[in-house]
Amino acid sequence: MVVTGNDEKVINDLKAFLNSCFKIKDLGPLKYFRGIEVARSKTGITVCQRKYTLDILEEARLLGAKPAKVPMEPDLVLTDTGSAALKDPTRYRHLVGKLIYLTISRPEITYSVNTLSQFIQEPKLHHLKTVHRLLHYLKAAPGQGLLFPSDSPLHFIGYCDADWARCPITRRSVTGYCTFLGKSLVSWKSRKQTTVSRSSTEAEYRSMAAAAYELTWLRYLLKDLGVSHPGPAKLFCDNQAALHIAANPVYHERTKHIELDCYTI
Amino acid sequence: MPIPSSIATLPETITHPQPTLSNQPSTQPNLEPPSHNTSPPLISPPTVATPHLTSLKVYSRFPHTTTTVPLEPPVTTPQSSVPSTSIDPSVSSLTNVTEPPMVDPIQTLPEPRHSTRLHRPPPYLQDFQTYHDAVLGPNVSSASISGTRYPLQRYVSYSGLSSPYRSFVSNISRLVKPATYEQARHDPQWVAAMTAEITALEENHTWSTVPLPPGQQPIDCKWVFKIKYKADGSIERYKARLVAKGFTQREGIDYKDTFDPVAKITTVRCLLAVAAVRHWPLHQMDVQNAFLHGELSEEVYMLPPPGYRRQGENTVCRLHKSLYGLKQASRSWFRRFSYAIQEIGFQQSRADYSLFT
Repeated sequence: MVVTGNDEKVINDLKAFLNSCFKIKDLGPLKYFRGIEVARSKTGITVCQRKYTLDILEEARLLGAKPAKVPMEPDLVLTDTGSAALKDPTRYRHLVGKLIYLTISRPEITYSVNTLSQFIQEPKLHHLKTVHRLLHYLKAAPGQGLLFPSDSPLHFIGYCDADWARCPITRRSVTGYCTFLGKSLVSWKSRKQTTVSRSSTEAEYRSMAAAAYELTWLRYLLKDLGVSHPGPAKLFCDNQAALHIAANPVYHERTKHIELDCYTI
Repeated sequence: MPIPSSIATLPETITHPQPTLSNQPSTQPNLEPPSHNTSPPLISPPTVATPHLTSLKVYSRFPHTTTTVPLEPPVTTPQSSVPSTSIDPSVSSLTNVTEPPMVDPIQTLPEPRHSTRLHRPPPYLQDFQTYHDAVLGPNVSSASISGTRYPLQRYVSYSGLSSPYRSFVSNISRLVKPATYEQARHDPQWVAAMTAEITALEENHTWSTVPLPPGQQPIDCKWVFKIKYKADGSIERYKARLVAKGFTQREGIDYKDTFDPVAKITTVRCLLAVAAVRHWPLHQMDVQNAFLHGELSEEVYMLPPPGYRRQGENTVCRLHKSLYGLKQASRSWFRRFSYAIQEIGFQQSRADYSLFT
């Protein structure tokens, strides 16, 4: 349980009240929370999972591995065929499950982990090799995490993108977005879309819709935290056609099926 | 590899009354290279080779062994459980067979049918004197002695270990978490731990003892034992926790909803980002025995915990507070907590139900 507030006295009152209701153990300032290490300084708060990363590496016996520069080979397209099936898929699932938890503080491995977790049903040898490659990358900087700077403005900025027809098996596209609160990164996602898009504009548009949902939710959350958000949140997209559709929803043959998403933006 | 349900040790090598040798089959062959042709009775051959070693025997079907799966007593004293290898094999087989085995009626299962084919040793073993041969004699079936075909005490002994290593092994295997109440009730430390847990539960008014109303089905419970270690490996305390067997609960009768909101990690990050900007202090807390605070809205009856049941009495515990293991434990704890915290003016966020502002 994490408690914060703008008044030290109120916090102490809350602690005393909770202690009267339940028996609580006061763990002091937030330092280590569900495997996440939190450190605080004047510049801001950092969040990392150094110990968790090292535990994964130790478990995979890759503590002595050669560090890699990127989490995954660029342009690597994983398919579900190509090598022998693993004899013990449990190990693969275990590793991928741990890596999913690691994405809490490592946004850069989100895409790799998302791709790898699509194969936990029937992992093959080359999937496991890709996981090991990812672990090599993690070894390069196990203490890397997020910094929430203290001098950042409090308004949301979202960036979204899509990779059209990325998945070779289903030909679906991949949504990717990240949202910042001022300078600090608060949420991100990399996810295969649920439908097949016939144009890259459509794929981009869907990712815009997903990011818009997230931003709307985050604004509600910020309001609940007692912080007012000045003006609308900004959302950046790199596809001109999608921007035009968002600015001026004119439907024709190719776009009328994404009408529903258009209403959300 | 045989899983040791209980371990018998050889009389001259006993170092501790309750040794558990779960790591022995792997360590023993490393320490003592197995010698095949001149194997003394105490040195264990690698367990992998056991099918060959027992292949001399004819698995004669004795009528008195066909109906019971032998259940060895959980606490093995050396005297009772050692089919000593120094005794004449036929005598040991007789004594073990004639003595009534401690068999629970539930455990009495028909023995699976075994092949009646004569087992002959492979020709390459004719040049060797195998262990079973020496110990048992050619005509004694190992199944007739203990019921287990390849009992572990035939293959594992302490005698090959050096004395410091032997004491080390017995020390690490001495600390065994008991699996059941029956195993724990003889140990005063575990009894103390269980008493402490029962006292805590009764102080908490977790249940009241009532006679079982007709038409109700009580759920069972069990003890879970745990040794809490400090960071340096020494023992911090012995802990016993009473858990309900929630898997016997029926949906709609014993529980309804089980969902419990968990804080979204994005919310936590948002909170941290705002706290960094606004310079809010951050504190962390932990509620001890959190689930025990949850109040139950359903009528749940539980059998009294093992060790607190009285013979012939038909009373059960009606649960007022939730217990670890119940399906609705997390939900009822969350309901209790959110009620308490809204009492003092906090509001549940609509965006994330686990956020209170």
